[in-house]
Amino acid sequence: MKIKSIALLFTLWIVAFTLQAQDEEKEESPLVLSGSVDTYYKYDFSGEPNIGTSFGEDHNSVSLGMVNLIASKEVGKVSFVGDISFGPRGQTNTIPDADGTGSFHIQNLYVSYALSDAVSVTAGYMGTFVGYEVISPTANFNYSTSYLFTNGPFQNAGIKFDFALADNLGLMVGVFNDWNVYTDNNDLDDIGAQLSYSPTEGFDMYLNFITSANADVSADGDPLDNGTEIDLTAGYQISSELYVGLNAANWSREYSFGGTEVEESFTGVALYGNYAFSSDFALGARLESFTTNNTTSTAGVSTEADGDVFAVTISGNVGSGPLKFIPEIRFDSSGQDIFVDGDGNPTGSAVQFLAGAVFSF
Amino acid sequence: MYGSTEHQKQNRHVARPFFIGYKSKGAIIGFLAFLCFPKLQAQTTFSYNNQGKVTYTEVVDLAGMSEEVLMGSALDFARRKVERKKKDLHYDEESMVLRAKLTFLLYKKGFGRQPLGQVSYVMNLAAKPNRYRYIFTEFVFYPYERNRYGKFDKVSSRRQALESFTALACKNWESYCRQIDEQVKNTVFQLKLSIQQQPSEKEKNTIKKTVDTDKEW
Repeated sequence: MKIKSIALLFTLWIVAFTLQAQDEEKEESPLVLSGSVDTYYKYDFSGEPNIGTSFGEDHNSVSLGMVNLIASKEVGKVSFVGDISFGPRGQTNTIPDADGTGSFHIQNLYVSYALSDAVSVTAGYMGTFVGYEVISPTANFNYSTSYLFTNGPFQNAGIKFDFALADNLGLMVGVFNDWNVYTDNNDLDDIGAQLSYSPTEGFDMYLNFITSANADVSADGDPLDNGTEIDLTAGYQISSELYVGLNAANWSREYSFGGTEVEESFTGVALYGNYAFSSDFALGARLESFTTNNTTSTAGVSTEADGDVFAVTISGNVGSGPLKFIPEIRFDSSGQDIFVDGDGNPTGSAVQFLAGAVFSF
Repeated sequence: MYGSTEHQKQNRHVARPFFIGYKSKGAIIGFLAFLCFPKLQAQTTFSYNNQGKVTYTEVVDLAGMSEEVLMGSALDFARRKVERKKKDLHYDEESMVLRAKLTFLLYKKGFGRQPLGQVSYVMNLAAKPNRYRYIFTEFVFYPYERNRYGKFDKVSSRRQALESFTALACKNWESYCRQIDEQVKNTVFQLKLSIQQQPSEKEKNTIKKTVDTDKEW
């Protein structure tokens, strides 16, 4: 039944493509090449890496982020994006080793076709639609990332339809592989949707949903189900200087193994605010509360079944040209002793300083 | 013998570097003018309407054309140009006024061709017998940023009226002004061409090959 539905969907897409193929010609845009390079230095005041979110994990080292190379082109109603990265940020720090060699990783690889002014279809491997932060350091205000980002999907391969329901209202629905994989070895069974709404100029809200229908468990007891995540992301440019953002999400998963029913979840809320004092300098803060229930698979929080953490990150963005310098101080605290102090003893808090440099072109 | 004749003296004179001698002033002035020419050419001056908005306008005379024919051709042109036919194109049949929202991209200087942003503007066109008037105004700049899907997309919250998108905000202002001016003038050229070649004219130019099926065979 599922395969039939997918086949039907694909057939409809092909038919629509064929019918529209001889539509009027639109101006061809040039091949656009862009990308970024980033590097960082981090010092954790405990003397060793402590905070377990994504990127910037090396202590007292000038370390690499990634080289990101992106090519994109639009020809009339058709477009493609090929987006590849080399380096820890784009590869081993973010997702399972995609090609087994750790040499590179594809961030985006998709083709898109505008069926009409209001409907487009996209197929391939895409940056996730879930969450506030992204892998690329050019689009994040802070260099280090939130727990919500680290524990959510990074990329989703699949086929999706975008509908512009009104000038300020949009809907996306799609079927996707499991999170962060090029190939789905246990059926194309994730369903995702996004409702986007802009109540006023500069105010954007996204309600995201992704769920997996796979209830199977591997022989080792690992669930094949990615679970269900409901995510709210919003941003409001209040003035030319002040921007505020919000990310709130809940993830849950249920499965049975060896006759035991397992339920696990995490919940988090992150608030963002940044103020541009000049075109060369902005200061911003991220406050995040993140809790886990009955899960040990959540990154960076607790090795126990339940955990919580509260994180405050203050970052500067210095520079208005292609080079952005990001000095950052971060303080994380938890009800559990999930960090270590300077003597190597368990403790409930950690502080780190980080300076990132991001060049975008 | 060599170098002793007047002819050879002249040859020697000609062979000297061009910037030495009595012609040097002219050459230097010419050379400086050559260097300065691109900069002088780069100065783009916009025209402004009574509300202080950048405006391109002209009344175009086309003898022998009714307002219906003129407007029909203008509508054809606008339909081909707008991104969204239903939302960006409005035509008032009674007053015979056409209003279309058109866009083009500005590209950054430097590596490759990256979009800097999108410029949108409004084309108002009204027709009367034997002439029409276009007004291009309400220019708005939408900066582009790369989104999570690796594509450049406009940031609506940071849009600026072209009048406020000045040299202060952009070090390559002159280059962008020139792009805007070229894009608009190119659209004007296409508009005029499209209206001149209105359907009846096109039909005249089409060679119709006819066959006589009544002929006995």
